[in-house]
Amino acid sequence: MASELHIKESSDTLKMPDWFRDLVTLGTIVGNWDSSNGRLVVALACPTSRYAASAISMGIAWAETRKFRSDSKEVMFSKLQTLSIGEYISIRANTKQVIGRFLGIENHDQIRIDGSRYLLSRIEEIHIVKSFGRPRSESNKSEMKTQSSMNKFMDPQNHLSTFAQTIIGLVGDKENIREDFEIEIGLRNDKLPREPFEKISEFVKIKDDSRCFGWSCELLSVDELLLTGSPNLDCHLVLANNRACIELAEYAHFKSKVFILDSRDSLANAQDSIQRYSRYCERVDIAKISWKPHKAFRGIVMVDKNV
Amino acid sequence: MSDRFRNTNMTFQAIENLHTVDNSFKSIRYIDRELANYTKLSLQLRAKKSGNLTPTQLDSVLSFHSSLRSQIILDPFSMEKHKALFAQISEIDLGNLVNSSDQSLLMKMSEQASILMDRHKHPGQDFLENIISHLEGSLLVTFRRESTIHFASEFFSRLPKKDVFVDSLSRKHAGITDNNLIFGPIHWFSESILSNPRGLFLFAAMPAHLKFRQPEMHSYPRWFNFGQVPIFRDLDSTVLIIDQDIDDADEEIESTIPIVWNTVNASKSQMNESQSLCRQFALANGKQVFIGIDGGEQDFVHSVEITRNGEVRQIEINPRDLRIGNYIILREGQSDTEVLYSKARELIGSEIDKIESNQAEWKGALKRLLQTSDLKTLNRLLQDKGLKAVNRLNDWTNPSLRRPLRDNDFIILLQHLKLDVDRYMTSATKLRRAILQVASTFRQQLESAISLVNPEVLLEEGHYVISAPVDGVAGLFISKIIGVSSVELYVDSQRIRIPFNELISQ
Repeated sequence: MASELHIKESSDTLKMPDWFRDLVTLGTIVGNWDSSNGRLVVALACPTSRYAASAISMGIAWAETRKFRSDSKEVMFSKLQTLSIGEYISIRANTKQVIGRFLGIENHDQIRIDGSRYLLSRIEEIHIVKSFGRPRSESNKSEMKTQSSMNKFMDPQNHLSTFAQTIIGLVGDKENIREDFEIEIGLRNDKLPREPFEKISEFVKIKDDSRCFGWSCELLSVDELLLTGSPNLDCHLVLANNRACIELAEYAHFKSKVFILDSRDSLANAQDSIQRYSRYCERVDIAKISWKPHKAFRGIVMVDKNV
Repeated sequence: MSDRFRNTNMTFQAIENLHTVDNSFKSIRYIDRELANYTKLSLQLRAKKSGNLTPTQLDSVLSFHSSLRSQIILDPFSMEKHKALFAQISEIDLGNLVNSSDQSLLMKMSEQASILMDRHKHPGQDFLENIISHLEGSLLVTFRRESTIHFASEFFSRLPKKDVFVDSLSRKHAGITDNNLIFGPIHWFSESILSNPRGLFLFAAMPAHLKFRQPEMHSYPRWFNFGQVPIFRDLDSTVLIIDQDIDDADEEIESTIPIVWNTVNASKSQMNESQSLCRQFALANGKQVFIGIDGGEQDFVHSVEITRNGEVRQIEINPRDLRIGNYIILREGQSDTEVLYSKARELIGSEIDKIESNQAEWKGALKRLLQTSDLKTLNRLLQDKGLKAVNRLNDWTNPSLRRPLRDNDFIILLQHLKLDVDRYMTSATKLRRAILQVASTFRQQLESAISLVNPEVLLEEGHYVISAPVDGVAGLFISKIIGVSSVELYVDSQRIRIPFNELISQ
């Protein structure tokens, strides 16, 4: 029996529920979206927006990480030349994965990560880790088979076989949202109770960091967001705030926009603003983005061409 | 461990439950006769509020009763404010404010209000006490008003069951429980209690006399719904009716088995005048039946009860009071019209030849008229003359349909055919009456056989068939009600009280 994805909160773990997985998948769809087709906008109402921002952010980060995958040595080399010294990268060769700070290319065929050097010709995959935390630098012990199956349901389009060990939980501005990010995702075999929880990601709360590429907030005014975050077209917006949704719906920033509406609150105003926004957008059938939402979700998918 | 994630996960599980047949939302209706009587009196009132900015004395009286009703239904713990107001309201002289009929009604309502307010336990408290002991696991009771919370907490703290929590529509209770009982009519609550449930299993409790309305989950507009139907539009709840007087509530809870309601011949809104508002009942013999519920106080359904001595006794129950566990008597299908007709011929005697000749004459004249007329023009002409059942013209040429149901329709038709109204009307009516009398005689014979029904068989099998002494005449059956539909539907009058199979025919 293979290990399965679990969520860990404090010291207890729970098998990753379908609704959470659906949200991660939505994140990967948003992250994989080709921006040349316009800005993908998803408004999603769910029974509770708690953790939804985290799950979607994780999917986006997963997809963004994949985009740095290189298929050939030449492409890999050119990508590495654009990297700044000190950025975190992840490499895989066979089943071994290493995550560390990129410290440069040496002798045209070696990559230096922290104190070690690796031959480019032996590296099968390389990713730039979009992480604000310090990723663990140790080897990933997960077997390839498990990783493949994880890919399959998390993001069917993604052939990523390694995974950055720190995933960014995007930005929040209030202390109470921090609790929603304090979960980890990992692998565990329920049949083997002594089997440890193998962490593959965690959520990190970041505030006031200009490098962030996404936002998730519960109570954040538009002014605060625009002032502190300097969002741009490389930045995804994941917004769990019905009120801010009204103000932010039509702002022409961001690479993509995900509005998470909490059905605990009145949705009328938020829906009005989204409907108003939808007049400038092209509505997209949910089947076209290959997402099958959980029964509890309702929403709309649109493409904003005014980028 | 922090239960935060587990709690969120349970909310999603609760939503999953709502989409299943077994665990979906259930309505529990309790019968409180005094409250029902009080409410029914108010329905008969003709007096209306003035609508003025400054309330009149009559406005105060009407508002008091309306407010008291809502208070009892939503908050079974506190009527102090109403008690204080009652003294002032009682001093108002109604003589010059309303007509004599309303005055009498308002006086009766005041008496009923006084009885309700003086009760040791307010309506609803008994029910709460009873029902919570039957719900396994933790329970969250949601009231509409925040002001109820304090009294409710005190009330529940005195009960043996400990894991009971209370909440209001403001939804301050963050945790999720096994059961969430929503106290009051579900349509008086905001949608979020269903779209964001706080219990794995949801129940709503309300007095049985209130018109039941399906929770309408329409707040997600179609455009915001991934192109699907609004969430919970099809939510179909099982209705469980509990009488406070009975002790065997266990049995009733077990009988809330999921039932597939066959609503092929019914509609949610009234499509034509011949439709009446009905409640649908599932019977122990696998059949279902629509029974009209707008027939007023005098309407009843023949039923039986099994006495403590083990005897079967005939009783009459108002359709609105029918609940799971009642045994109702219904006709088993339609009698063969030919059999009834031949018996009616015997009953009429020698006059039958003249009657049959008269019948043949007016039906022949009608047939000729239909053959020589443009049907649309004829229909319009007769409709202008006041004939209501114009679409039945062809049916009336059939010998087995003795005459139009409405006298006025028959008169208009005969006049149009230039026939002697008295002659044909009298003979057709005599024939119809004889047939009804035959059917009635058979029915009386069958009903007299009810007292001979073996109560043990009835209890064990849930139904009992009483066959007619003559072949072709419909027998009777007694069947236990095992389910009451959550929705009230409009049904054509000819389909009311006619049992049908629960399986939807392909």
